[in-house]
Amino acid sequence: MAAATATLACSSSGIAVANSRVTRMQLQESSGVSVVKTPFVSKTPGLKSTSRRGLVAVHSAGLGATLPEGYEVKDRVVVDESHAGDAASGNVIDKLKAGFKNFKESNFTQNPELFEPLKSGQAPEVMIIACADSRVCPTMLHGLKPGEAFIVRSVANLVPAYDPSMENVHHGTSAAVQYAVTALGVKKVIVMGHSSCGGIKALMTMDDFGSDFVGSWVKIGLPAKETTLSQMGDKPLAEQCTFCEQEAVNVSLRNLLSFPFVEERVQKGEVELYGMHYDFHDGKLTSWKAAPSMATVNA
Amino acid sequence: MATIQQKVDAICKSSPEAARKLEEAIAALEKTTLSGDASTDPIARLGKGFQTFKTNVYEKDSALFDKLKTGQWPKYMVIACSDSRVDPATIFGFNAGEAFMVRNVANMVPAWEPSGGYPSVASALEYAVKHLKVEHIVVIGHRLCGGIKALVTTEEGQGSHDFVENWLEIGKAARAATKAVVGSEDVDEQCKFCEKESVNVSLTNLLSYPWVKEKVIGKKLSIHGGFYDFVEGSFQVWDLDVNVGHSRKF
Repeated sequence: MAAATATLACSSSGIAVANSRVTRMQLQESSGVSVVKTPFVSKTPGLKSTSRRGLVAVHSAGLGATLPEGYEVKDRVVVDESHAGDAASGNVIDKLKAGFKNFKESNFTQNPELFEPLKSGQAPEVMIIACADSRVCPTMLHGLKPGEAFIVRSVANLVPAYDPSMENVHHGTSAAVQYAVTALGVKKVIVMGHSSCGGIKALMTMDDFGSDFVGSWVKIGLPAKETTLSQMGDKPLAEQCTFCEQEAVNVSLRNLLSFPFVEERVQKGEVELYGMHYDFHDGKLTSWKAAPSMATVNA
Repeated sequence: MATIQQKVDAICKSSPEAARKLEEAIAALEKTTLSGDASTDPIARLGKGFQTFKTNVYEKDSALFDKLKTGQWPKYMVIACSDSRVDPATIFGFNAGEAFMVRNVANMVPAWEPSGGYPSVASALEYAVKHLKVEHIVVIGHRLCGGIKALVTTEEGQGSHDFVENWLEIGKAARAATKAVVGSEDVDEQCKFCEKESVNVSLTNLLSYPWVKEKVIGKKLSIHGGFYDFVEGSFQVWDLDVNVGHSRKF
């Protein structure tokens, strides 16, 4: 039954069925390391290359099986330090190849004490929820090494409130928070906003939040917009946005606490919540903690 | 009316105990979330790391960072896993401003759904394609992905029905292909297959967004799949070609 299904998957995918020959192009041998450039082939199940250092075992059979008619995988390249890329060509693939080669040579192979343990697993102490903005990469901003932080990045670094409904809904950020807190056991969760955030600006300037995806997403921050308008309604938009960028972080922190598995750990002191704001106009980082208040009883 | 400085001097002179209490009070006021021992406190480490970034990168490359104050013009959108070991900036050396980056569990892109829910990826995709007009989208999977392992080892509907499972079901076509093609091999082999095939599922899902497909066919946008293997120390990348044949009328 499995075999029949495999054949069905391959032939209905439209992937390279007509061109079922395996073409090995540019097979380069240097110091025992090889690079293989081969188009995906899906009609030869069981085809498997044996692996030597640098020659990655290729399950070319069946990969691409899920692609629909009219789509094909092409130009698959494997890169390691032996690969001669062309960084200056401006081509995106060349850039990725050159970047990886540099990483492999100057970082990966130079720091085995860091990278070897990571092959067995990850144990980051910190989760960071940051914006997808190209200017605010947390690893760059904080010099983070591989293994240090579990990082989620989305528009305006928003965390929706706990919503256990699973019908017709995908819970990306909620899944990441659940995984980080319950499976990885992170101890600190940081929500980091930033200056000139396009998502926050959209939140502040939009009226109809249902007309596109950006609106449907940033409306998570509406409580922050309300606070901003009530406190800064007379100020220019830029100042309102700066305020809202930080207040939206607080909305996300509040939403984090609406997750039972977060709240119970915060109450027990197992997880701490922090807000941060990176201002790249002034080059400054603001940080604050969202801590449970100590309840005092005046008898 | 005595100034604060005069009051401080008076307190320090009055008794060692009072001076000590004053010092403690000042230290408490000076203490911030970022002041701590960076070698033991992760938050202090972030603060110290930021100072290093500010000195060595931000202030040194003022031409770049001044330009970025006015906007961002990334050519790439990258969708990668949240796994702490696989940050694309580290692996590919992206500079500030180069890559608009989404990171989530198992680097998933859900298919286009016109309304409802929490469109964490769709909103980023929309912003990147329609507003930032990125030229390339790269979806990068990786070896030993905990999310993919959970997907491979959980049968549909048989898991804990939690957020993680709900999210990973985006990749269920990859699980089906994995079981069909390498289902008889061990879990590690199945995961290696599924980690790459789920990238293909995400690439297909990218093309379910009409304004993505339009741009890909119009050659204004290209999409790529990638796979980072930190056990072997290798990276694979592939393109996705969309062929729309000429229609013929009879």
